[in-house]
Amino acid sequence: MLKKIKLWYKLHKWISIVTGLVIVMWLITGFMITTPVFFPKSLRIDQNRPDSPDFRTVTMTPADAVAHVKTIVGHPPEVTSVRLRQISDIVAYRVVLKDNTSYLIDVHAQQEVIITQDMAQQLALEAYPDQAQILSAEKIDRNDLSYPLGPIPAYRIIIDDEQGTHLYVSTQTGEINQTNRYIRSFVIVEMLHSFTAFSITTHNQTRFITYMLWISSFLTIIAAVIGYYLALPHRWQIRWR
Amino acid sequence: MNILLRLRTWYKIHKWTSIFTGLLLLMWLITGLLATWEKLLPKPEAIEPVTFNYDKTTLSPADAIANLEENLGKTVEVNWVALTEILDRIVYKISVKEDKPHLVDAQLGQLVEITPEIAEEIAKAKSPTQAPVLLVERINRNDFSYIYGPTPVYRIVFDDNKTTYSHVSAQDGTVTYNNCWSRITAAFLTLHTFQTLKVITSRKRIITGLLWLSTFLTLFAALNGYYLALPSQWRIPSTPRRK
Repeated sequence: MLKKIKLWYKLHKWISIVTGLVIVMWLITGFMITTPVFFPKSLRIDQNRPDSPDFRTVTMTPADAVAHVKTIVGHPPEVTSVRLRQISDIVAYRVVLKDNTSYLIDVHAQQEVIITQDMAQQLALEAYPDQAQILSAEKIDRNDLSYPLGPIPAYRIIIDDEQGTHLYVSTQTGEINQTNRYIRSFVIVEMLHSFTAFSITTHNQTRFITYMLWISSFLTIIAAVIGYYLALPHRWQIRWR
Repeated sequence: MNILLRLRTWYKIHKWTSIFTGLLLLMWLITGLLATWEKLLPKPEAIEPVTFNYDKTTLSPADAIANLEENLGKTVEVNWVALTEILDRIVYKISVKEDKPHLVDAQLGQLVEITPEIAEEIAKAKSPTQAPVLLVERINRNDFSYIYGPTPVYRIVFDDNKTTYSHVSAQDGTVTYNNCWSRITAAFLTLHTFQTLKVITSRKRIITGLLWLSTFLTLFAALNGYYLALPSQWRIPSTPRRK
C-alpha cells in the first residue's frame, strides 16, 4: 500500500513540475498585466489625428468609385463592399472585390490612391506628435512579435526617439497603428497570458494550439485530482492489496 | 523557526493552500476545455463572399446628408458617414452629434428604419436554419442569451431544435446568431475569463484585488510544491523535533 501511495505522489510531483511551469507563467503574466508599476503611463499613445472630413463636399457616388475600379481592372468587378475611409486629409472609397483585392479611390481627385513607401513615411511623420526622423522603413507581409495583431501587408516605419516608436501603415487602408517598446512588451506579456503568442510562432495553426492547450489542461487536471486524492484522510483512500 | 523548516509543515501548507486554490484552477481548466471544444471540429467550408450591385448607388454622401436634413427638418452636425448593406440595399449610416445614427438609402434617398418586420427579413436572409420564426422582440439590455453586443436589438427566435436566436441591431441592421450550444460555450467563457466576478461587484479595484489574492495563494502553493519536489540534499535541512 505504501508503494502505491508513493506512486501517486510521484505522479502528482512530476506532472505538476511540468504543468506547473505553464500555471506559474500564467499567474505571473496575469499579475503583471494588472499592476501599473510594470506598465505605467507609457502605454498611452499620442498621435496626431486629422479632423473629421466635411462629407458635404463629397459628391462622388459609390457607383462612380466602382466604375473607376472597372477601368483599372478592365472588366466589371465583383464588389463585396465599398467603404469610406480617411487617409490623412484624403477621403477615399475603399472598394473590396470578391478575390480580396481592394482599391482606394480619392473622392475629390477621383483617382486611385496607392500607398507607396514614400507616402507611408509621409503619413507616419504626420501622425507622430513631434518633429521626428525616420530610422528605417520596410514593407512587412506577416505579423511578428513586434506587430502581432494589425493588418498586413503594412509598412513598418521606425522613428528615432527614446520610446522606440514604430508606426505601421496598412498598404490597403492607410490605417496607422503606433507602438513603442513599452506597448510591445505589454502586448507580449498579454499574449503569453492568453496563450495567443503561440499563434505567431506556429503561424496561426489554431487546431494545433488547441490540441496543445487541451493536452496540458488534461495533465494539469490529472495532477490536481491526484493531489485531491492524496489530501483525503487515509481511511477514505482506496486500500490497495 | 524550526517548525517552519520541518518538511511535514511544508506538506501541510502545500496541501491546504492547494485544496482551496485548486478549485479555482480546476474551474479555469475545465471551462477552458468546454469553451474551446468547437475549435477541434473540422472547419466548415468557407462561405463564398456575397457580392453587391453598386451601380445603382447614385446618391453621394453630400446628397444623403441633404436628404436627411430635409426629412428631419433641421441641420445636423455630422461626425461620420459610413456605407453598409441591409439585405440587398446599399445604405449610408450617418452618425450625428447628440443623436442616434440615421440610415439613408443610397439609391432612393429615403430614410431607412429597422422595424421588426425588416429585422425578421434580415434574420431569415442570413439564417443558418430554415426553421420558421417563433418570436420577434426588442431587447434594450444585454442578457444571458446576448452577453456581448450593441443594444437595442431585435431578437428573432427560430423554431428549431437548437433554439437559434438572431440579434439584429435596431440602429444599423448588423446581425449575429447563436444557438443553445454557443450560448453554453459563451457562459463557460465568461467563467473562464472571470467575467462573472462582475456579478459580485462592478468595482474594478475589488475584482483586481480578488484576482491578486487568488494569484498569490496559487503561486505560493505552486512554489511550495516546487520546493518539496527538490532533492532532499537541496532543501534547507530541518532540525529534528525535541522529545
